Amino acid sequence: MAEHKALPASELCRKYDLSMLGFTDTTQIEDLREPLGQDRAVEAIRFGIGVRHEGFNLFAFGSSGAGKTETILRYLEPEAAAKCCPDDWCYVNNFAAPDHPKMLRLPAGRARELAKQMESLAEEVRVVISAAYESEDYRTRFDVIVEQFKLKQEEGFETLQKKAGEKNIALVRTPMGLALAPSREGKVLDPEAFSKLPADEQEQIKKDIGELEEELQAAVRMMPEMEREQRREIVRLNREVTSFAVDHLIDENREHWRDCPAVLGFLDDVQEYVIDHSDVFRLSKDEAVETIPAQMAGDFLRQQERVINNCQVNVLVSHNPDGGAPIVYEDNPTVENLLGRIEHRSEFGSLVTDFRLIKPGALHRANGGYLILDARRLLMQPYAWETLKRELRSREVRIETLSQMMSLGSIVSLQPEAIPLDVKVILIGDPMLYYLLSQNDPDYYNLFKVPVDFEDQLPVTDDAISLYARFIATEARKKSLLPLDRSAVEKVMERMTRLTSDKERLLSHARALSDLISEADHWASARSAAMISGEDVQQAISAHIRRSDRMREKTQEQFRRGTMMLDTSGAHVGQINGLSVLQLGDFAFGRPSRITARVHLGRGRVVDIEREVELGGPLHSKGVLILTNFLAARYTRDKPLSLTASLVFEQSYGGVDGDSASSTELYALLSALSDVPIRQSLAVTGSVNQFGEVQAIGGVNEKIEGFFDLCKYRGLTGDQGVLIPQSNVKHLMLKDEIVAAAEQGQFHIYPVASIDQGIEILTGVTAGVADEAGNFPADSINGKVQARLDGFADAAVRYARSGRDDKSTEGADV
Amino acid sequence: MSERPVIKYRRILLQIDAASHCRETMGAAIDIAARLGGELHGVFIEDSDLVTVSELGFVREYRLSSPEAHQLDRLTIEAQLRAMARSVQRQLEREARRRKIAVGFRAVRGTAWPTEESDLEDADLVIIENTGRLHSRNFRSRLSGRALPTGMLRPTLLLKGAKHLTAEALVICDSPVAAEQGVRAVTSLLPIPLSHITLLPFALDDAALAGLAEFAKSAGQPGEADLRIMPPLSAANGHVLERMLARESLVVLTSGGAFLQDPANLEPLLTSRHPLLFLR
Repeated sequence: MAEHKALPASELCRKYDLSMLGFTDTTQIEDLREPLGQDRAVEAIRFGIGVRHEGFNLFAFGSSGAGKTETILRYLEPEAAAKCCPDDWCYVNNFAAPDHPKMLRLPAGRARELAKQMESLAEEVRVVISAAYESEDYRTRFDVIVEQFKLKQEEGFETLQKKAGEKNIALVRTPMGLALAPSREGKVLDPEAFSKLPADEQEQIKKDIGELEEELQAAVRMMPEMEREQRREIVRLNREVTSFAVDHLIDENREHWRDCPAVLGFLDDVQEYVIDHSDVFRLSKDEAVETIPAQMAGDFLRQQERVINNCQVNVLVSHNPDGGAPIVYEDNPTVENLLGRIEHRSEFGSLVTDFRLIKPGALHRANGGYLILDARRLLMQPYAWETLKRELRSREVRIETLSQMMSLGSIVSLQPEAIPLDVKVILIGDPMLYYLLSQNDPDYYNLFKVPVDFEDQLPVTDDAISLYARFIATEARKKSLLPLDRSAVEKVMERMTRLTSDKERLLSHARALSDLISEADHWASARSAAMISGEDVQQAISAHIRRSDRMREKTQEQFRRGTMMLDTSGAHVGQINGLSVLQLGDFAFGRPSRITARVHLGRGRVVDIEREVELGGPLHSKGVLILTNFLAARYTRDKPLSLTASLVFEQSYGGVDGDSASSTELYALLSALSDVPIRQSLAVTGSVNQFGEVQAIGGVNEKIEGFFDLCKYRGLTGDQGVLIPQSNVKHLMLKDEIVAAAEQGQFHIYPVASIDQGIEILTGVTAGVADEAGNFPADSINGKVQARLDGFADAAVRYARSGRDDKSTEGADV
Repeated sequence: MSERPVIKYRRILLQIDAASHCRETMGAAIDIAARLGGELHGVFIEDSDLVTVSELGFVREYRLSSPEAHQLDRLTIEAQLRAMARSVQRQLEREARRRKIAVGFRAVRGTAWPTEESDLEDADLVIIENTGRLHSRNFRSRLSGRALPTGMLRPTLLLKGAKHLTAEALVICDSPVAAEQGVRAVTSLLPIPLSHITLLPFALDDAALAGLAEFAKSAGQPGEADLRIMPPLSAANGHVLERMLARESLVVLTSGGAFLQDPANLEPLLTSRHPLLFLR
């Protein structure tokens, strides 16, 4: 039997020695300028933010806390600062169609200036118009018009009255109009007096009245038209007077905005509107309150406010002209927060709105620049993802509420003019979302053409070690932590390697690093140290583990108290110590389990009891099925596999998945078949393929540590250890006490490449090599297994024959 | 100096008829009543001439709101007058409630211009409204300078064309008594300061003019501006309007004096825009 050597202690963990870097603490290390190990991501970011073509938006994905946003901002900020500042956007009243507010585009920084000017203009307009109406000139001209029309009317009546008077007919005012009646000496004739007149005179009077009535009717009919004409004249006068008062105010503004045709157009509209509505400024606020009834004064003042407000400017987005392109991070990407919203206010019990209540969304603020969104939050908000895609496709922002989109409700709202959109969207999320979207959303590749894939590990090389030390120093300074001495840096790197579960990798995860050194800083500060030492880092690691390992302790306790049965000494047939990993939150720990196997004559089937009771996952079942084929192919080439074997994780009441126990189960089966006991001082992990090769598994460090802790509790005998796949040796980053135990020969880690190697270590018996005929030596494990299986096969044949013979006899008897 | 004497106008009679009804006149009357703390009595005159006209049987009415002619009969005119009276009463009571003054109202049939003592009962001031022109709503055919002075039985305020009372007053002084009485009446009725009251001497001799000047100086309280006095008008020249400086001004006239003896002096004032206050 070949000698199987345990791994030397040096193979069990990577220890960093940074003495060659020539620093004693991180104050001597300069900052890291580039993100660590993110070459691919950085290349993608540079490309993505540089290319201006449509659809080249970015999706940055990587594990949470990998520093995606920070890395993106590092490259985005200088790029954005170097770009031209985008224009300002405003909404103004659409005087022709108030439900459709107009947008106004202004050079960067000038929107607020315009808004301020319009505010003061409106106030000035209020004053000058009121003054114009108060002026003596206006009053005189107004009275002239009124008097002219009165005179015109009176002229008609006076002529008529004169004419009537000549014929002894009076023009009489009735409650509702005018009438013509016979009179004598200024007094209307009563019926009696009239009847005493000669008949021909009566007839003449009636005839005269009839003739005069035609003229009276014509005069009366002219009155409405004359009143209309009078109103028109007054309107003309009002326009003239207010125009004279307002024009020069607006002209001053017009001069200021000569370079902005859109503003000039707006000022024209305002001028026309103010002149058309100058009536509302006839009285000042105080006069209105004093001179007209309260309700009318209220209406009047509201009208004034409405006219003033309609001339205002709603600044949607205004930029600092020297500020470059905006970078907006929207933390809560709801539809309203993306698109903006139209607010309402309550007015006499109903909800009303106008262009001033249009509020900008993130797309407005980021227009001309960059918008960063959290992909998960975006997708969790109803309709937000679809809305964002629609705006990006149409390249314009159209403010719509959810109820408008879904055609729900009928509240009066606005339809503001859409604003052209030119924005680069950067989604940040985890890889799962990226792959789901790219696979399931047909629009995805049209709109997000640039994936930014963040790496969370980097290979351990001399350069990487040097850069990592700078990474640690940079993070410490960024967080304003105490500097780390060299031992602390080494310890941090050791921990970061352990977190990758790979001796040849370092974790480039910014948050994990930052958390660790922040905790170490706390412990260092607690002891009033000027610097973080390796002990502080170790304390931080231990405290972190301690906070999370209640369940591990409970599990260990069950073994210690004998509730969970597991031997760490002696030897048993068909019984072996397997290892599994439990992941609870961000903490994982190993737990040993007893696995047992029983065999008997049967139909060539290995029964996975876990699967039978639906506690085994598909990967576990896969591993067990591989065993069946391994046994059949290796030991019973020309005979049927006539056994039934059962495998079980003893005292396992939860689910089991993964194939990391398949080699362990195979060892138990081989022991059961060969009837050779397995050393219980050893535990095993590793999967196996159909050729008996042992393959790598995950969580090797936690598994070893789980078994070690139990052995340590029961007392290290020097005989204990763990069999691991050879290919997992590079992943070993075991804790210091295991390394120390291994160094002292108290605990052993055996790398295993094949089942034969493993079974020899476990049983101390040669595995045996098959000869050309496929037969194994009889005293080897494999020989014993082969002999047992052959025995099962023969027994099965005998059993089958005996059954047939019984049936023949029974037939003969009949 | 003693306080300026105030004339007590406790009972104010607002006379309204089918031709003169308008909200502003009512408002002005209520303002005065509220200022004086007096009672306001609205009298709606159902013009008997209108009833007479309706009885003729062949007279047709041309309404200002309708292009059609309507046969005017007694029933129609009675209904119109009553409806109008009720409307006036409602408005008067509403306004009075708002201003917290006592009001009374009655409708009487008679002539549009009060000429009998019994019509006026114990009124301290009569307010009527007339533009003096043939304008539709305010047309009153029989008001003339000839009839008016003789008809003034009580102090009478004649408003014009639904205008608010002005802040200027012109007192025509055809005697020193007229000046004193006029200033007293104006300051009692309206919030017009002395500096906005102008005295216009008419047909006064030198002694009377000197007395007027003395009155102008002594009328005010200490620190108050003097009354203004215009150059006098002679008896042969009663063209007051030519002297009027303000665009609108309350003109105060006293009956029994030289000015109103000549109706030609009054006629232009009646047809002007200026409100008139007739005193006895």
